[in-house]
Amino acid sequence: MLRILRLPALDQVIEILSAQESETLLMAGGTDILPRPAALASTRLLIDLSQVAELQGIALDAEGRIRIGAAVTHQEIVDHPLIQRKAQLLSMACSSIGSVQIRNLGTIGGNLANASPAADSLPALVCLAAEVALASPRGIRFLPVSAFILGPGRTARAADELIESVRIPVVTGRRVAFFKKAGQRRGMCCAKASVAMCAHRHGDGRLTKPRVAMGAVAATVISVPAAERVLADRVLTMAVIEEAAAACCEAAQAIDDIRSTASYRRHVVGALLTEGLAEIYDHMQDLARRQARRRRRRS
Amino acid sequence: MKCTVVGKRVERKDARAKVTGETIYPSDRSREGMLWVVAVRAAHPHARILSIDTERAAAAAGVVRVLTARDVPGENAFGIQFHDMPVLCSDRVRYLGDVVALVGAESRRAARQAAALVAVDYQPLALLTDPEQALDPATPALHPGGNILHEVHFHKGNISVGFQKSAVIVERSYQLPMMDHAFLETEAGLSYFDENDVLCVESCGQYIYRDRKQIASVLGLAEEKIRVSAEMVGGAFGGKDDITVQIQLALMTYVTGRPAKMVASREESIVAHSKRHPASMWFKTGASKSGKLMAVEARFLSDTGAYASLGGPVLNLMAEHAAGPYLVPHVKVDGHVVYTNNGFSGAFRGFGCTQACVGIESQMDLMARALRRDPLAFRQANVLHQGDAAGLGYEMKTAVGAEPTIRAARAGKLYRQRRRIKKDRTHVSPSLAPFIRRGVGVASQMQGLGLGVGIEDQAEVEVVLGPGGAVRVKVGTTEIGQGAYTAYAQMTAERLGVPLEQVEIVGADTGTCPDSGATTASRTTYAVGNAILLAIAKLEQRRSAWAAQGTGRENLSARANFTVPTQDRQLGDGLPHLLYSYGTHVVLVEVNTLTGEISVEAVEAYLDGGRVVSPLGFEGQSEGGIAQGIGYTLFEEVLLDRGRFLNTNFDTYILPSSKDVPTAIHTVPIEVMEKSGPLGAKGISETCTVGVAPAILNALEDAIGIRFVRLPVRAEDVILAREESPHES
Amino acid sequence: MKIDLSFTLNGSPINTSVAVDRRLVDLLRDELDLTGTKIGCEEGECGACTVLVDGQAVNSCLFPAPEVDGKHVITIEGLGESDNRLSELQQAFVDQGGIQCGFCSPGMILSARALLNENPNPSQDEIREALGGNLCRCTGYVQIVDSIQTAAARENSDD
Repeated sequence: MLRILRLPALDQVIEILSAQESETLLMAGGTDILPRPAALASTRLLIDLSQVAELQGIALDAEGRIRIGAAVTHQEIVDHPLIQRKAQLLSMACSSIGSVQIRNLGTIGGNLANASPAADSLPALVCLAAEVALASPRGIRFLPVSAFILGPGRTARAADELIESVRIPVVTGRRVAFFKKAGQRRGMCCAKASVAMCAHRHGDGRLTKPRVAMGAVAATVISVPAAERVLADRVLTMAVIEEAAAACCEAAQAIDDIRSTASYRRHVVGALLTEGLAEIYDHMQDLARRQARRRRRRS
Repeated sequence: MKCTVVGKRVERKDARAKVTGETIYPSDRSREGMLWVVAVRAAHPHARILSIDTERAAAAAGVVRVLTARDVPGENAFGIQFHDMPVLCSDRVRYLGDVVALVGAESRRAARQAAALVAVDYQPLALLTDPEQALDPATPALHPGGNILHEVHFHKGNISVGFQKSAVIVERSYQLPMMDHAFLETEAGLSYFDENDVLCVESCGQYIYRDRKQIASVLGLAEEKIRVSAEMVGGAFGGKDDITVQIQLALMTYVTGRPAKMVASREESIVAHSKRHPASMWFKTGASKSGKLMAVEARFLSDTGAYASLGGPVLNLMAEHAAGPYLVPHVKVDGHVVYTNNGFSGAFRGFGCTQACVGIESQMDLMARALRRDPLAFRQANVLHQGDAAGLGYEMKTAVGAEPTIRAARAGKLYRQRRRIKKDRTHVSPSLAPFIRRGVGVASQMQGLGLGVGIEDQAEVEVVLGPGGAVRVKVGTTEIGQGAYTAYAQMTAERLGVPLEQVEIVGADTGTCPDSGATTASRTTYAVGNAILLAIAKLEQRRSAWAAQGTGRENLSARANFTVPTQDRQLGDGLPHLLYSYGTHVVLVEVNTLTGEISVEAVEAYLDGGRVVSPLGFEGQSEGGIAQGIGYTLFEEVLLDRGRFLNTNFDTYILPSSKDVPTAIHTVPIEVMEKSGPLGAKGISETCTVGVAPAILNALEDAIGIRFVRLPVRAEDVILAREESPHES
Repeated sequence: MKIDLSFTLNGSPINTSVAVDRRLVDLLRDELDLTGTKIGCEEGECGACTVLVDGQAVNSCLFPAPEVDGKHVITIEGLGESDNRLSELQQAFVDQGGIQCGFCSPGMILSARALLNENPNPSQDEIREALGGNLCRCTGYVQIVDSIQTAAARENSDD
């Protein structure tokens, strides 16, 4: 017999979880649970997290990081001014998740807990050096997203732990970022492969502190240090882009499945990086031209 | 002839109820005391049934009855052409959709849970999944008559002479996928006994009278004791032409006496219902140095899967349309359609023309290219005219609109300005411009209208004049979304000279409506329209007779029956046709050579379906047909692995979304009036989709110099082909 | 286990109880007899079951019925004006041919409603983006997009 508990406070959830009742399922938006009646059939206790006050909201935490409550929906992230200003990459990535209807229900915590290799939010979170806050009777511990995700559907969350929030360090300065995804169609789709990138942009055309991560080309989201090394501290040119793209292709450990092939996935991560960086390159060229014009006018 | 209602952008008769949620679809029907019915389907795509144990299922909570083959009182088989599909399998299953038991329970959940408790002992049999293997007489047969359902062998002229006279000869093989209709409403319905002990089945079929006949033979009941209705249905496209839930529902109600309801899940729908026939095709075609088509040779191997459905007629139409709308002196067509354990295939918008058109229109482009001729000019120079001999040799006796559609397409903006449009890169970031390629492609097509020679093709209707000028038209065809009821009402209002609002269409109920034939084959506007006009003529005759006598009557009704005319010579079941609709599509595609992604950016459709009755519906059909054509070409394929379905919902069976169909669709009616048509009308519901796939393929070659011969063409294929192609354009 | 619920449905208060594992679409269709909300795929891919919860478009097949407690739900049945008149949006679908078989229409119209509430003047691309989770197999979307643009123009001129 399935029971449902709709709890308003975090400590109540933690209390129940620490009781270690078997066959307990945590649900926030429900978008990954409701289409699987089999998952529900084997569940005894369903804990509805959607009303837990502590899991809501987007704000700066005491250490100045962006705190996104685990039950915050993808659409709230897309629309939130703080995210748009300080973590635009995440806004871009979340806007490509599912449809409007899914984004209104699905949550960042659910996307993390579900640990799909193809989840759109994960490459962005990795690039942004986000940490997952896990709450338990022992308090809160923080894990980088890349350490939290262990494999398809597998995470470092202990049975008595709950994803409380995601924390993203705020970085100042001029930033560039993109999230690119190859899907089976242009509209709502699951990623065959995705690439996220962010970096600091400098007036001389250099990018510094680049971060590159890829989705759906390995058992987990992966970052691409080789591509980051190519890009770091170099003036962005099409030749540099080509070199970084090759590093992405090299780093992919893709497989064949119903959505795509290993060889295409390996190819397309390079293509996606090329697209994203070429657009940034054109944007920077444009800025430089405008700046030069302004300087000429002034002189 | 000047029309005042026909040809006007009128509101659909059913639109109001559909935007408010009032329309009751089959899946919305329910009745006090009804059982939910769930089908227990085969666990193996090919197996012998050793035993079926329903004891645990029958004892489960909420279960009222579990039916097996033993409970079928009459003939345990059905099918449109041959009764080869068991209602409930007792000894053998041939595909995963085969049904071995039906569970009737108080709730859907109880029925589903109990369905899992039906224990069937199977002995798996050797799978037949390769159509080539089905041709081998040594392969064990899936049906008593062997694995070849039907074959065709036609020739006109002398094919070797044709190739001798050809300066250019092109030979290619094509592979076409199994496609799901993906109607948004899955198969559904409700059955019950009414107060007169008539068994009523309110369901989703495309031909209520044929459904009734099949239900009657399964139950061993007189047809008068059964009433079948299917008025408003959530899409069909041919996929609800075969019986789906109707017999299962009727049987449950017949045995239990209780109302029964069924709604297929999407997974079940994709597994169980018919599909577009997957096919391999080989074409060899030749043209003279002066650009005259000389020879078309084609071989088809079509896979109908586990049951016949309409596999034979679909192959016949592939053969009929193999040479396209062109005058070809030498033609040879051979084809087979075989049984396998790959699901089953049947009617689907285009009905064989879709497949054949991919072949011949790809060949036309390849030949035009080899001859360095303009692809539309090449088509225009070879097009069929009224009085010409068609591909299979019979005379094209009725109006042929192919040439006017080609002429209009040549004059259209997309084709005239294609060089400029293809160069446009203003929408992409400058550094990416070199990676973007655009191409324009064309295709012309014809599509037989009606069921063809040898298949009864009649439409009977009743027109009733009521008090106050109200007019009711009773028709037996289903409104599956195509807008036919609106077209019927417009033709009625036009002929009677009454406002459209006064005309009510009463649809698709064997209890109240005459047999208007099947809602298929682009036939309803033409056949039902003609029957309506005949009925109105009768009414007016009577009215004037009464007026002459000085007597008047308010309630007056007349029935009329129209038979779709055919060719006098029969070449096969439904072969050939007398009437065709025509069309030419021009398509702009864009290929991102970095990612391999293909997008269709613009489409112009020049369609001849005779007079356009309802412009809004005409354009809507065209746009929807284009979307389905885009799906067929770029996204859709039912994937099977050893008879098992791999993509059974819309996360893996990919339909075009709002972002995958272009905004720039321009549909132009080319109204070549058909003398035998109602007010000159024919129909376009199939021709509007048939040419889309080859037009995209032709545009792809124009864009990146690669000829694709297998659908769907995905980004993966683009990248692979470019890697393999030595001279990249 | 059943759970008690109070929520507002198309402007009217509803007090009912529902099994914990029911979805909102089941509550609407099976318990409350509002069959205008359709089921097409049961996994959030087709959008036929779209309704508005607190003004936001959601898939009612992915929405646990118990969670509707305290919320405002709008279905297609609640979109018309009083005295049986169609809303501008519905009327635009009628006028522009945004309807064929009609099975996707309720969900399509509610997605459009949510869009227009947020963005009264959407571009073609914004409309197509907003409809990304609503599949239509009949129309090819062109007349649907036309309908929504027409509705937007009419609603804006009414103000």
